[in-house]
Amino acid sequence: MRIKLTIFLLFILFVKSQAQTNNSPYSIIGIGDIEDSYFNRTTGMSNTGIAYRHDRSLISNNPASFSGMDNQFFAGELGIRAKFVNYYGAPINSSQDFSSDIAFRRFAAAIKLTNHWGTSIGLVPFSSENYEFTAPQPILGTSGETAPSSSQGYGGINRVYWANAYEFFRHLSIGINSSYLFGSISQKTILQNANAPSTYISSNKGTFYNNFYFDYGLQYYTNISKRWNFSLGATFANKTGLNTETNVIILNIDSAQLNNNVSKTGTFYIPTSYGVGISLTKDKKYTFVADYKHQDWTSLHYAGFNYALQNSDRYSAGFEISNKKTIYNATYEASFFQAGFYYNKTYLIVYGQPIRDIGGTIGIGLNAKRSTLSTNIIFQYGIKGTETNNLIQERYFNFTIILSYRELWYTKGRRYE
Amino acid sequence: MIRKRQSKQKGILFLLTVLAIFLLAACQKPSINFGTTFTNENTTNVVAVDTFGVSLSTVLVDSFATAGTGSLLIGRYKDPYFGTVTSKTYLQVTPPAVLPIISNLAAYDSLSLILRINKGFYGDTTTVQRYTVSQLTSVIELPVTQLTFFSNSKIPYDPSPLGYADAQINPTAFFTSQKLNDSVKIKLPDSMGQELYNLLYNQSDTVRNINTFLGYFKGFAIYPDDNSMGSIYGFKDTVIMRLYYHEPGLVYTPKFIDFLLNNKQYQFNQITYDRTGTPTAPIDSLHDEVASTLTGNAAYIQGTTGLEMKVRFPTIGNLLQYPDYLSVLKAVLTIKPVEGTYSPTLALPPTLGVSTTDPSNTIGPSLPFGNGNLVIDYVYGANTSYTYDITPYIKQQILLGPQNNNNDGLMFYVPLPANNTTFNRVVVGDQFTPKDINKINLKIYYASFY
Repeated sequence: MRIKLTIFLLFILFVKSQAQTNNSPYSIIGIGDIEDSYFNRTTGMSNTGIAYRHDRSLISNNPASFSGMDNQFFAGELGIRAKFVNYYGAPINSSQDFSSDIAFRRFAAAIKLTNHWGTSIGLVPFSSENYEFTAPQPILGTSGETAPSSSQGYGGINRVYWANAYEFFRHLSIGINSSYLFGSISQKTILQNANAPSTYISSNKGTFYNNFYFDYGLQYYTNISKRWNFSLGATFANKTGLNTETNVIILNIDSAQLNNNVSKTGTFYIPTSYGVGISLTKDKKYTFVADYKHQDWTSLHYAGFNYALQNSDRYSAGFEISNKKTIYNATYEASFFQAGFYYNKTYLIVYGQPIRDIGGTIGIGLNAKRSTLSTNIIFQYGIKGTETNNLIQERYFNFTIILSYRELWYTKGRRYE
Repeated sequence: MIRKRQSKQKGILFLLTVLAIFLLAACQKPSINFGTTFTNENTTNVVAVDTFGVSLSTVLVDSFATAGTGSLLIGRYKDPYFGTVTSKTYLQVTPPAVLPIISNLAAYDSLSLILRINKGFYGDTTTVQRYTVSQLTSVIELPVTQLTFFSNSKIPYDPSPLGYADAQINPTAFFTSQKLNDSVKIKLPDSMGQELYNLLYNQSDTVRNINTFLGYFKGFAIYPDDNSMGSIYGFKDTVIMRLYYHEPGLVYTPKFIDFLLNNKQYQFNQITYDRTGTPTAPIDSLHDEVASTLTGNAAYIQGTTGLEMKVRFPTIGNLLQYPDYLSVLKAVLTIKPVEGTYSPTLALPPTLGVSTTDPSNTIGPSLPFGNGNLVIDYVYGANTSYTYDITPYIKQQILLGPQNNNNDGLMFYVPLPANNTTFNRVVVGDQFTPKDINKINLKIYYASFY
């Protein structure tokens, strides 16, 4: 046990020391890559779970799911993901076509306050931006001359949330997710004349985002027969404007500031989005889930030189087998196996090409016998983008670990249920 | 019991595998060049402006040292822009260190001056020119105030020549019309030859003591005659005055004694020019700038006749008034030789040196601007140019302000060693010259933010 603990602690320290460093070329647009994964039990089923309810896991896919948790327990979850990416396409240099990183992705906790009221708080990434490239910048006032410039960007938006779900009539649950989005994205561009090092200019743009964000969820669940359970779920979020404040600082090689401090405020809109899902369970052992999610970017008319943001549609389906064991007349889940696949027409069109993200997941979960620790390991492989029109295709492999922990917590309601 | 250990081992193994996989994610971030799609949303732009005023003027500089260059420059050529340029050379010869013994039966034959071409030339090489030799009437010696001889130095010589040779020289093929390979041979009077022969035969002091000899035989001036027009040729300074004699006997043995160049530092070239009727005629005042608008909208650079070009940028200070100006990233000066003013015979200098200068029009420290990257457009003639990246200079000048921009400038000239041995010259178009392709141009790239 001690050895296990030591390894675990070393591992946590290691993860903490790594920075987020994957290069994601498409993340230069808007607020970066919007995070697709929930880093929870549904990740093994390709993050499908709008209609899914579980007694032990925090199903943050739908805020209405928290009313389905076991009474008297406090549950906490931790998510870590390692991502390995291979890049393909005309702009890729064969010696620089791979990147990898690892980071904490999720902290969450939940508790059942009454028999019908579940609540959860957590911190997850909302979007991330990470890129680095050198590119010729067109020179204004000439016909076709370019200047070499190198750019890099990093940052992202995080979401801290407090979700509440209440169960009505044993078949309906309504949930509200109150989140606060906050984060900053830094972009830096360097211009330099190779013949004269003193002409170095770096422009540093930092944008801060923040605002409250609310989404709502609904779940309807019932037993169709003695062996079959069925549930339906829906989520909805209204268009929300993130308050932005942008600062630009331009420095020369001696770090002297060349421009006047400019601070602009603005708004970046997160569009209306909704999702629907179904879930079918047999014998409380086999579960099949399917989801559809939609984000309404087209009406926001975000577009640039060669790209535009369009509505995104995500279809996914998953399957789970739960191995139950019986000890001393109590049934508990010893392990579970999951699989899923997803097809995501993302919100990007670049050079006229819609960017699609397609992939599959396999997940294995192990619940400890003597403690309430549960480990879930998910392998995910996906392909995002395309090589046509000199674009970049990313083929990525994610390795995610979810650690969850439960503890008895006496609250109102019946004990030792 | 065993089961417990097995499960414990499994657990450890499991954690170690997990750790291993995570260690593989060693945080590498490659650089991927994928930016042109989106880079038009830049915070700072690069803007190029090429409408800044460039003031050109030509400066006549002091004569320059022409002694000991290893090259005798003799001839005359006519240049429609730079006028008629004449070059004469002055030198001393000395008898050999070891005098041969001449038998009393030997007899004098002839005396000649032999010059060997060194392939250098400037002008039209198809004409026959007359090379005249005169005896100097004064000994070559440095005036008190001078350390060497200059292009305007001269030594008086006897106007009636000792001898001459008419020759047409083909420097590239390395032969002369005298059909003596690379030599031009000028026959000297027999009276002089006989005198020298007698001195040598008697082994008199005159030919044994160099100073005495020089007092007696002061030296030569070699020059083109007044009607010669064609090209200035370069000759090696291994010039020989050869005295031929023969020893009779069973076998007729021709022999010779060579008088070689005495002192390289006392051999110099005198270069004169006549610019009447040419665009460069107004440039006659030492160290004064003559604006390009007064000389046919062009500035003139030639090393051997002392012409240099001064360039000023009086209006670059305006850049500071641009609301979006941040900093200069690059400044490129393009110098255009005027189309039609150069040809294979009147060729361009391969490099032009550059230095800073001030109102005194003297050459200041030379700056590392490179050698001009001369590009000759043989197809259209329109893109021949010298280009210089003068970014550090422009950045400094902008900070110094418009007062200084009007005074300080850059001076362009033919660099050593070419500037005192070749006549390559360039006619540089200014900003007002009629044809666009001939205009001098300063292009400044600056970082813009608004």
